[in-house]
Amino acid sequence: MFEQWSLFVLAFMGFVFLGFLIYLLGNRKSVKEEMKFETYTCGEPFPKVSVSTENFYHAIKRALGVKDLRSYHSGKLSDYLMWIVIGTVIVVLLMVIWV
Amino acid sequence: MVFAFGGWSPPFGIVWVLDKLNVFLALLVTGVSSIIAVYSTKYIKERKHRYYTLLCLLTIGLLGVSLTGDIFNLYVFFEILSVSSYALVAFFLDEGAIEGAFKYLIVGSITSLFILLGIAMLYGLAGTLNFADLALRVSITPAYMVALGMLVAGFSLKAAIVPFHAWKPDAIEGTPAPIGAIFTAISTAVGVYGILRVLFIFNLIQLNWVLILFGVITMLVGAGLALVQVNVKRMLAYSGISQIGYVIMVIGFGTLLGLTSGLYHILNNALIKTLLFMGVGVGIYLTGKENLNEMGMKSTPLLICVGIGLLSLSGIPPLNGFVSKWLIFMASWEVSPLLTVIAIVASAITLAYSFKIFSSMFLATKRIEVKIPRTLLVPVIILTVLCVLIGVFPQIGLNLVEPAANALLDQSQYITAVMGG
Repeated sequence: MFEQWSLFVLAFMGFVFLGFLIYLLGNRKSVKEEMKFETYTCGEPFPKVSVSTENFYHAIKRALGVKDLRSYHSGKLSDYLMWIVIGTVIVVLLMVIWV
Repeated sequence: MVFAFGGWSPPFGIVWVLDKLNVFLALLVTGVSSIIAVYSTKYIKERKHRYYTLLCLLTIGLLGVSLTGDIFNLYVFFEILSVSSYALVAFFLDEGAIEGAFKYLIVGSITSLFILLGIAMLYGLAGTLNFADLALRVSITPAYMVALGMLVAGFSLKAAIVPFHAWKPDAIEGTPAPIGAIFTAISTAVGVYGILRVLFIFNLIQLNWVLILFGVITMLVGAGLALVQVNVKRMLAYSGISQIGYVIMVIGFGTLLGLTSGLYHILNNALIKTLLFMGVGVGIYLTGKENLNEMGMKSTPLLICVGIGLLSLSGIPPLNGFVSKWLIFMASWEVSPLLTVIAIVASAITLAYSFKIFSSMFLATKRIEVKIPRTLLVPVIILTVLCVLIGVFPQIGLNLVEPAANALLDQSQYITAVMGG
């Protein structure tokens, strides 16, 4: 099943190395033109930012409707038990119908 | 290999059976438990004697479930592992731990009830409790199917398949990180084993759209909910649910490739989840925080290990996660290309939440310099090396899982070994 695996791994590592080389070359060039960055952002100092975990993939969450999915996980034991009963009925019914 | 307790020959006495599937699961249980036992020497700061007693009980329960050839004996070991699990979830005795343990206790009791009812029905109908003897006696009638449904529902609760999954993130949030690894990596695998063994008894390891449907839903719901979590342990718990979804889906295919890829993914998920729980456990141990917003740290060895674990979880080559996911894609392509597309989408979501963990831990603006104790770091490094090794040489894992998949498909070998020619 994995006859050509080593070839694949070698090729993958080769591409990673190539990518690293390109990154190094690109990085060296960007250091020389460091001032250009400030002009691009209209001269103002660029603040060091990081995305809050709360806001990570906010757009995706809204698009996929994950928030609706989350509302079914209320943390209440009675809700969990309801899901278990529903699930069991479905499994038993499907098993009987399936055969 | 068959061991009859007290010299009572089957089906009258209890037997332990070592076929290739049982060996695979037993190796997984002992391997992960041993690494966790070493890691916990440093991670657990107080009441160590209680912790290790419970850990040993949990391991015994898991091993018993893996090795027994008697369905009621399986239930007994299932109870041993459940009772020790409840106590381990409540181990820290804080609010979250008690709440998680209570929910798990209630849901776990219902699991046991379903399994016991299923076993009682089987015994009433077939008059035997031995797996091999049951396989010879059962017939496909509605009464048997109700028993099968009860057993599948019970084991699905343990495996945390949607919609039976809600207890798991709450339980794992309260539990010590290494025990979270056992729950996500091994307990769920034992639940899947239970489903496999029951299907094996009924000789129903074939195309099963019920399992495929539940697998797909579990895969997507688990991944989607992992994406929105802020607590790292909850996120990994949902991730575990999602990964079990892949396994359930491919088991439903009933093909050799499907079973091989499913078992391979159980192996890889066990290694990756143990690595990640122990990796983020180091972060929790050093920062005292579980919220991803507050876990920023500077540590190159941990960055490499957790980074490799997350890449592997997302199925990036040349790591072990890629191998099993690739096999899963191939197996699902044979049944329906749509299932392959769904599996790829779930993998993309996995990559998304993996990046969230990595970014929050190692690329955050506020990061603290940490020095990791050797006892915590060495087990994490060992698992990282294993992830890379199995990824580069996938035959290592395949040699373990392919015979196990074959053993599942060939029911006659098991029956002959237990019942005699």
